[in-house]
Amino acid sequence: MSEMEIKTVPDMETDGETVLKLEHLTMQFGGVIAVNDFSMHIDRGEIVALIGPNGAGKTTAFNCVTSVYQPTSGHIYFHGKEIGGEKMHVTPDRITEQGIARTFQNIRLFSGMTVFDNIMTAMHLRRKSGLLTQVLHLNAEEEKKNREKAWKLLETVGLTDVAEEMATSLPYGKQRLLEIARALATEPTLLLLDEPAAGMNPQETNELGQFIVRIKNEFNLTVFMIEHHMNLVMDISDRIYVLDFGKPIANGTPEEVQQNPVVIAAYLGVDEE
Amino acid sequence: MWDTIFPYLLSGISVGGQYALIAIGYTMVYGILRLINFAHGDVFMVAGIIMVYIAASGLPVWISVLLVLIITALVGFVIERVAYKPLRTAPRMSVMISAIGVSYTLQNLVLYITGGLNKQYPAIPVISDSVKIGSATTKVVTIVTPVLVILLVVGLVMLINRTKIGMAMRAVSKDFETAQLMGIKINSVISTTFVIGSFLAGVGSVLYFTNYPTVIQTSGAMPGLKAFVAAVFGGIGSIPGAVIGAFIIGIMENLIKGLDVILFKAGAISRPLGLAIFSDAFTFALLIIILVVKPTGLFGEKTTDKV
Repeated sequence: MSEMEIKTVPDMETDGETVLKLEHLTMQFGGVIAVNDFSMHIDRGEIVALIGPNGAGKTTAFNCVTSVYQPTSGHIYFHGKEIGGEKMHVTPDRITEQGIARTFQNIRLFSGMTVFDNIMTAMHLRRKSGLLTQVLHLNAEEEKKNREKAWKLLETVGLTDVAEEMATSLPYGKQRLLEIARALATEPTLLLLDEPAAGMNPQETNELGQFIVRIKNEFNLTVFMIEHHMNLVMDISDRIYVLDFGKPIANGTPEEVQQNPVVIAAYLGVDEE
Repeated sequence: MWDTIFPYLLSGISVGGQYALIAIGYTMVYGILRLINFAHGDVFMVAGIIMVYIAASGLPVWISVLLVLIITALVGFVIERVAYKPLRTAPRMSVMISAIGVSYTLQNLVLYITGGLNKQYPAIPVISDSVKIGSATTKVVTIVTPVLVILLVVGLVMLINRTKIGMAMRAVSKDFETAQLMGIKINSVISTTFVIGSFLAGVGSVLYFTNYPTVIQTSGAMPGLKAFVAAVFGGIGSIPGAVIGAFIIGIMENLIKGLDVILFKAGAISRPLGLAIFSDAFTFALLIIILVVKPTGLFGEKTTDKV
């Protein structure tokens, strides 16, 4: 299927409480339209997956939501409030402050910092104490709470035994878990996972799926995830959106998407008639 | 022999400490913004000029010193906001050119105010007094400098390792974008960096001009350049590197200045060779050598640019 023939599919209706809503989101880089008129939404407590062939614009969509990119046009709403879109100049830290956290496709932990410090860094927003109180140790109580909280997050992802090791020296799978824990440290209500299972074997992927469901319930999250492992996507997603060449070509429940001929064509390619 | 070397060593340690205080500003700003802040040496000079004018107003000297430090920190803050912040998304070269612009602006502003005349730096009680240690007669500032530098560096390292803002600085220096996505307000982190760097340059200027008590619009150029070489030598981005680099440069420079006397007294030469004039050349030769042999410096991280 060539780029010209792709039809944009409108967003579907659901009856939950909308957390994130994209309206006609478009991101253009020079002559390349990475995301093209993408509308979608996520309801509270859902796990929604964004899938599509490589280069379909999935990560670009994430970057628009987190304000890494300024969208060319369209609007982004979070809990009904516009947080990004055309003419909105917001820095990414403001997005995080509102309760959206993310992980990265290519792991981006802070090198030269321990596992524990990586978590503490992400708690920056929620640590109140100023410079003077910290230097003079006036905030021992609060800092103790913060450290306990960071430790609890490490327990959640099972990394307490490597807390004092350098983050970047961990094996790949553990780095991915640490990235999730670091995202949780910012106290999000919406968690964006960019290919959390990349590089994992089927068993690890399966465990990760259970883990995502567990933290979703434990931390009261809504999850938006980009993923290529179809088993994982089909197992845990409530709904799926499919992008191809930046355009939304399908959406629906895992069963619906799986049987959608347009999706099958996008992934496998069809003969020109 | 030792008696001959000792005074040179002592003043080397002192000057080295003063370079270190400037070098920290270069290295911290580079660590966070990947910017060589060419205006930093001029901030150091401006701190000297401010002291001249404040002291002339008749305020008690300790209050003047305090005011100088505060105003210098403020100057750093304002420079960042006016000249660098608007260029946050611009190519790095633009910011560097802006820094050169700030450097010339400060120099010419001071030229305009002073009329290009040497200004006498006020004598600060206690640290301007003479003291005799072993074979050397020197000013108290020579002893105070290394002690103060060590205290300030220890404080700075604690700030960076233990506090929230310090942790944010480390995160921003590792990965700008991710730090932002973890909720860190990079603009306040960058401002803090400039405030700390300028404050330390202010401290450095009080110590330096107590030793070399005239200030003119170009006074910041040489110490600034040498501190820059120290930062590169130590591995730009590394605070311990900058401090050690600065001490090495300060000591070597002064030993070269005294080389004629030392060699003569040791009986190795019968007449002065005029080696002292090579003291500046040594520093810059060191820069060339380190860039050729080990561009990342003594403690610099080996980095590959992200694609």
